[in-house]
Amino acid sequence: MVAWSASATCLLTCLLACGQVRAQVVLDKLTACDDLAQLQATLRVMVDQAPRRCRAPSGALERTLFARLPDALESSCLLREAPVPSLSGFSCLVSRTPPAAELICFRPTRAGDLRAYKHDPDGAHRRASVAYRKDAAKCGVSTGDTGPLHMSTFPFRLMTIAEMEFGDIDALRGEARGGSYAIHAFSRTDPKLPGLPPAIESVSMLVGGVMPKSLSPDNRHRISSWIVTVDEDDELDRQLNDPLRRVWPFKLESKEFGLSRALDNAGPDKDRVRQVFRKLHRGFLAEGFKELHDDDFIQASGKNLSEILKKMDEASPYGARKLYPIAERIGPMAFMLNTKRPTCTEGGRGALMAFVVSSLPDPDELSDYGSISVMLVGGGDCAQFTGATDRYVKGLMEDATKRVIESLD
Amino acid sequence: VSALRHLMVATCLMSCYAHAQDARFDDSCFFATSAGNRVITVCNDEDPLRLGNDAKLAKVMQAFGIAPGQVRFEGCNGMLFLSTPDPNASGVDSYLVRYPVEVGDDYLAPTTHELAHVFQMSLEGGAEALWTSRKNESKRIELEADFLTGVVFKEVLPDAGLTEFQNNILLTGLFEEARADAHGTSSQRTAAFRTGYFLQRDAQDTPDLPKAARYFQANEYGGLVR
Repeated sequence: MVAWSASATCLLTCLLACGQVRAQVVLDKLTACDDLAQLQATLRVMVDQAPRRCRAPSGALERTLFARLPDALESSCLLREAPVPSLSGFSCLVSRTPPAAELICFRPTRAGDLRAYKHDPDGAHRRASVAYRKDAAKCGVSTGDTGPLHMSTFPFRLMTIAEMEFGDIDALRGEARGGSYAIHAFSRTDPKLPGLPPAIESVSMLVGGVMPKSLSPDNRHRISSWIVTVDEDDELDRQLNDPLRRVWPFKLESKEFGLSRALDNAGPDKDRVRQVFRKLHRGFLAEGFKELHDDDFIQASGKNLSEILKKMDEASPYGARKLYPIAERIGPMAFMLNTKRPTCTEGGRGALMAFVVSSLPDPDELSDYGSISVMLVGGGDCAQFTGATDRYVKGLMEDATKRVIESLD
Repeated sequence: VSALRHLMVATCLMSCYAHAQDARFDDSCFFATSAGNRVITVCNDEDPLRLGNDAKLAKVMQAFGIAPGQVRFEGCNGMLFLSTPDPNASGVDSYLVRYPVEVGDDYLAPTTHELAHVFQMSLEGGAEALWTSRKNESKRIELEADFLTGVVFKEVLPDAGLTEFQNNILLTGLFEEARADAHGTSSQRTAAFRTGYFLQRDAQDTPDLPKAARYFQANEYGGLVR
């Protein structure tokens, strides 16, 4: 009896100990120097050359992530096998948007492990993470710039299903600052998505990252005390258009006007974005666009506008909701339809829709005055944006730009 | 009593940083200069690491506009980094920076962080004024100090590198925190530092630090802690 009891205790102790070992968060991916170098080289090749052997997603985690990627079919590939030994057991997704390519590898982990790691009453985990980053900085492929990961740098594709809890980032050599980095992160998944593990571990790498055109100083205009940042990045339109066109014969062109003021002038006139919106709205109505109302939306989709917006908010990336709270910031908006102009609309063969959507100022940013997005969507014969349609759409965008500037002058 | 307690808390919150365990924080900050029934760390009014003569820190002080002699350094065994109005000085704009002797070669980033606090106190007219001007939130004060450390690192210590701050165990922050003396999580502290380090200078030869501090509070802080 005593012997049995001792054996049982021993077994129990062993099981508990094994559990503790499994419960640890293991920090070893950014220190696998050879694997990181090999990954970076492989990913660089993939910028120009799509992986040859992709597979269909399997299991809830892969399927859910894949289903929430707007560019999944067009530019993403689930690799058949882990690209390096240290990522064995991970699912790995490559997404190509030349000149950039991103690899995201992920696997389920336990939420309890993450909670235990973050609790860290004696600071042991912080010491371990500092040691991890210091060791990672010694890799030949690293620039030496390693540090804790901020939520805003967590891969956007993973944000569609998960919110970053903690992680580390390593800026890699061989490209401009920010052009290439590796991330090892732990995140909680969206509990509303069925079938997902509660938490995931991920390793991701980016190569060929470039500053978005919209952030270029060339796209910032000063109008009296205002700064208008015009985002007309074609890449975003392309990313939206490619999946859109597979579903409907539509084409979209968009432009966003970000309003801000230098700190010395910031503070008053926070409602200016509403004035700009009204000016744009009136402009489209004067051009012959007709306002769409709730009845139109119900007829087309079975839902009224506020229900559609609620759906859109629910569909926003789970991991980005704290960073970009869409529902809290959405301002006045207008949805309009033109069935008279341009010529592609003749005989009811096509139509042009105009969406003007405003975003209210970020309350945490004194210099921010919100933004206005103008989206033009052509349907039917107007979906090509060629010839007269193209000229008309460009003219509308130029007119919108002029109206924004006039309403700030 | 409330005002005095407020001042003590303010001084403590702005000058200690979050690497300490809770108990150590209380011991070495609240009671570092006050009598009580807890252990008081003894300092010998000396600067064993000679930080007062350190060439790099002299550059940092110059960047912050801190005059030589305006800050007194004390090194103590087992002490947390601490900055406070100097209780022994006759002038009102004099400060004391205490440091743990054990810090060794890793002194540069945490001492710069403390000198950022000295700059903040001097700018606002004292510890209490700083506390009030930052909405009575320790995290606002601390992350601004990290941000200013980034600005100054880029300006006068470009060779020190980002990791001098980012991978310094004394500045790495906590994974999560809910304490009244919050300093920011590890990702928030690093983000604040990098925001300062990569701050666009608007073609100025030298950064305007009071303006930078105002910019941080108005435009960056809210986004960092969201």
